[in-house]
Amino acid sequence: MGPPPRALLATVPGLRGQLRLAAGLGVGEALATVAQGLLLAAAITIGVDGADDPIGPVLAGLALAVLVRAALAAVGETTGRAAGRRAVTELRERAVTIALDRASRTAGDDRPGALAARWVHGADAVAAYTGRYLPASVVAAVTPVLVIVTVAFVDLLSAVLLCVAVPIVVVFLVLVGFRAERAAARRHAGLTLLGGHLLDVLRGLPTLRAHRRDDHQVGQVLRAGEHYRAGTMATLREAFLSGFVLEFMAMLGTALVAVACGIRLAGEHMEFGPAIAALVLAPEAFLPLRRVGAEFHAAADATPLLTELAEAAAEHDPRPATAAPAAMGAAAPAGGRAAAPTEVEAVVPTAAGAPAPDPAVDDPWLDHVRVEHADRRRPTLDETTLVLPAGRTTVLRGPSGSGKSTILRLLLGLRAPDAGAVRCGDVDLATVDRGSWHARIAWIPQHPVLLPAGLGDNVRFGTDASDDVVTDALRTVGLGPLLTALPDGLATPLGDGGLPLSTGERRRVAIARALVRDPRLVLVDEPTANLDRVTAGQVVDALERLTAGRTAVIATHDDLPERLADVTVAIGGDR
Amino acid sequence: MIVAPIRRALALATPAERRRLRLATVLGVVAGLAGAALLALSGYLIARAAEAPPVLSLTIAIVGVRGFGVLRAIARYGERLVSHDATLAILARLRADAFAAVAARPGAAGTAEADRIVGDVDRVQDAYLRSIAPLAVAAVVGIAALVAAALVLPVAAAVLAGTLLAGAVALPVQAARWTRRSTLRRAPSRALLVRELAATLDAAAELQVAGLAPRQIERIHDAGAVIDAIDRREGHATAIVGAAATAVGGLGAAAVLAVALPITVGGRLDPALLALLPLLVLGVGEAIAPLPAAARELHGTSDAVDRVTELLRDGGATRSTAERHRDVATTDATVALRDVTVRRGGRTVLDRVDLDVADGERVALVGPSGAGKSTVGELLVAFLPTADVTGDATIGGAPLAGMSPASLRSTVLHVPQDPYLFDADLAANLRLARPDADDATLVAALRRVGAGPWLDGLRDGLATPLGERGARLSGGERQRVGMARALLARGHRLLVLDEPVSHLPPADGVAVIRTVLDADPDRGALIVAHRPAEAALADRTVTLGADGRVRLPARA
Repeated sequence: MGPPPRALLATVPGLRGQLRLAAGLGVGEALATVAQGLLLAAAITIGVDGADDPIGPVLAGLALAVLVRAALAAVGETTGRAAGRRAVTELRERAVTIALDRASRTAGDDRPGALAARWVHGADAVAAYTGRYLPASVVAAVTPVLVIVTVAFVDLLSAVLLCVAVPIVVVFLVLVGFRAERAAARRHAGLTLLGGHLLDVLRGLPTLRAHRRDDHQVGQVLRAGEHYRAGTMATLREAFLSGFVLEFMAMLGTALVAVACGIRLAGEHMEFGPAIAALVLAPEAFLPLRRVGAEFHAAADATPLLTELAEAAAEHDPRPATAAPAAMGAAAPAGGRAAAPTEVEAVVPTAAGAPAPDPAVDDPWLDHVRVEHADRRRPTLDETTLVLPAGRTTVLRGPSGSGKSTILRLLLGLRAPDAGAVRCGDVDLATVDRGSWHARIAWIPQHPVLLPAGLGDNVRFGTDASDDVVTDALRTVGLGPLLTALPDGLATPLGDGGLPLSTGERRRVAIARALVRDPRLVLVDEPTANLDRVTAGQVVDALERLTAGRTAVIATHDDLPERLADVTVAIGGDR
Repeated sequence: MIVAPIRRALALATPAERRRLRLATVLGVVAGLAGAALLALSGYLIARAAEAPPVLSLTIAIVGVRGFGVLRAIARYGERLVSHDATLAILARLRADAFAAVAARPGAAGTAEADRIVGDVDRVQDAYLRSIAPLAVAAVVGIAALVAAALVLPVAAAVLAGTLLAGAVALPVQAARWTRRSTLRRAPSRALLVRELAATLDAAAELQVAGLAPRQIERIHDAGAVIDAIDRREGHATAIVGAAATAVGGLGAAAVLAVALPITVGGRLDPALLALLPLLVLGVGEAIAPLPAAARELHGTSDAVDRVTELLRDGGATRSTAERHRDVATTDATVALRDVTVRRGGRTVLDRVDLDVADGERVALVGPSGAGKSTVGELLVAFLPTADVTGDATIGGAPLAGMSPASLRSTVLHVPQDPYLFDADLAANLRLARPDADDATLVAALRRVGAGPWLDGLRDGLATPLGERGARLSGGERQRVGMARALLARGHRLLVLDEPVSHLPPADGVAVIRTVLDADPDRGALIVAHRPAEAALADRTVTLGADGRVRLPARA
């Protein structure tokens, strides 16, 4: 029957009022429709009975009712759509906020591509649910009663017949709803798999080609689609069948009224006027119910998405509701628009408000830390205590998979230890405000991100560094010649479809990024992997300038960064 | 402006699929006709009954009302079933065709392009479900109603014609005109939003640490606001046009009454038929109500339809070119590059390079990063668009440009620096190199490339899911899986190893390369390396300069 709108209404500010207006307009439209039916019946009656009543006023009234109904419909739809847009915008930004947070905590275990696809393409369903289904369900609750009451004034028997037929239709409506929901839930899972599957094979095409599996994969894609079709049709068939029954019952109800009127007319127990009025009005008692039935698919399509979002929100913010800003109420944490960045920052959870210690002064260290990995039998780190002296450069040496990257993640607070604590001086980082801790860190991962923005902005990366500072940083990391060769200079677009950068260039952009940030703690993951000796040497030179006098941790399996080491620590040599 | 987009959308379907769509449309038309007839006939029934004839003479009309009601419900059910089934079948095939088309051209799809292709193919279904069918139903029902009205009262037919002209032609045209610009802007706006979202989610942790998360959310908000503005404009247009369509139906009924009443009162029209006419107009109004939305959908989907059509056509063209050159497969993997230049994205990445690799010879390719070492490897497996390459490149004496990529790749195996791992389990990721391999073979391959301890540490062994793009593996583990694939692959005469062990400790890396080379002593190799110990595994070393030119090819 669609998700309860309470959570949605609590989450999206201003939605309740908009939806009330839309529903009110819908009921108004139904009233105008009733008037239109009565006037139409009156006009026909004049014609059939050959009465001398003036036809002009009736037709004018009919035209007026038509226009009022149309106007109310237009305003109602506009209002509903606006509500739908409001909900979509709000939920999309909340989804991204939550995803950002979750992905940064469980990095590597999630499916960001599938997530993005679901939340972009699910927007239409959420808009339809909010803007159409919710107002329509209110209209469907009110209008049949209004119509039956009106019919009762015209012809009591017809009203009684409708009183029997409408509840039966409602029962079928509920059945339709349940079926549609189940169908949508299965389809939701299928679509995610299917979209993710095609995206996955498109991205991995070079690998498929290298092993000449591309032709075989065409068949796989086709089979996946056929499988999806078979599954979807099985559930759609049920939903359509229920829809058929719904329409059939509505038709039967109308026919019942028509035949009852016809027989009484033929027996001269009834006037023509009430009969035609009852006949014209009867379908209007079922129409709003059928409309809701038609929107069930939209509602059901939106359900898994809204449920997922609600679950993510609950998991994302385990704080009691009272801790959330009062304006939001209910179970929802703050969901401000990006136009007000302070509100958005409030959404990113911080373990607590304690100000961050200074890793340039106090030693960061691991205090008897254990980290387990879901897929692996042995813990990655076990009872590990490791001090990273402030103001010095520590090089972590060890083979891949030995836990070097895990240590960096622990220090970043992107991974919580399963036992023990990560500290800076005396302070447990779990108690520290995450944002202010991050503000002190420059992190250079193995595959640094390139945003779809200019080279300059990719180095600036959120700071307000001037072009000169950015240019200096690029020269320091050995990218001066590249910059000079670019006709558009710092404005040259990077990222998907932009200037292609080699792995080395990309990593040097990230080091320039760190230089511009002027951090208190530098964390570097495999800085020289994939670089030739000459370039690797340049990178290490640049790193030297970055790490000098700073607290730095460099994870590597290579000899070159060794010369920057004040301290070298071997990690998990047995694997 | 209506027929051409329909024709293009239908051209994407095969004849058999078009037959199914036609069946769905026929069922839709039956449902629409039955609906209009139901309304009109029930008006007639009441009016005839009012004349108090013998009940028996009403029976036919009563049966007719019920029959049309049942027919409408059944036909609607059938239409929904057949149209969805047909559309999903088309969708499944188009996905496979789209993939085949991308696979047939050189170069892979970038993330944004892959996203767009997936979105376009999904969008095409709306052309069939929401656009073509309602248009066809409205057209037939409108014409049938006109004929019926003309039989009853020609003047009423004229009024109905006016109603149809306004509701079924003028309004949809106006709706399409109002929204044309914003509809065209929708696709790129949506693509931008997806791009921002993808970049944000891919690098979530990094952005979070850099404090950039709020700013990224702001960018997403801005991208969303653009779509919002388009939606608002379209929403207004749709609401106004929809209301106008309702008004046209109601006013049409009133107008029919206005012209028919005097005639009835004058005794020249059966009063029962008078009751039929306005209800018929209302019934037609119901059938044409979805038209403005359908016209808009037709325009909204036409871009996606065109792009998919173009993609499939290009794929077909590439494929047929490839097939023409099919028969030049070679067992001799002698590589000769003469004066080869490669330009990518406006940059020269390889500049007038000469390179020889004898059949079975092992050559190390070294040089600073950015010198184009990887480009040489990509050239040898036709990963580069031919337009980017100039000069003479031959393998086994045959020009590369004239060989089908498939036969080239059965001669040359490319092992990239960052092998792509699919969102599937470990076994499936290995088996793509040798589909008929049993589990023991896969495990043996993993052990030979030093992944044994890692494999033993996995709770689910070969059934371990690797996550999206192998995200659950470290760089070194990914590379070992890539090298295990190279061990499993068979039949190649030349290996291109593009820094395949850069994430491994140096001694491990050398051992893994040696294992893969020793697996087939006759197989040649081009080893792109930056460690001297790796280069030393080759018979000789060639150095590429930073300017993308070969320095003196030194004989070992």
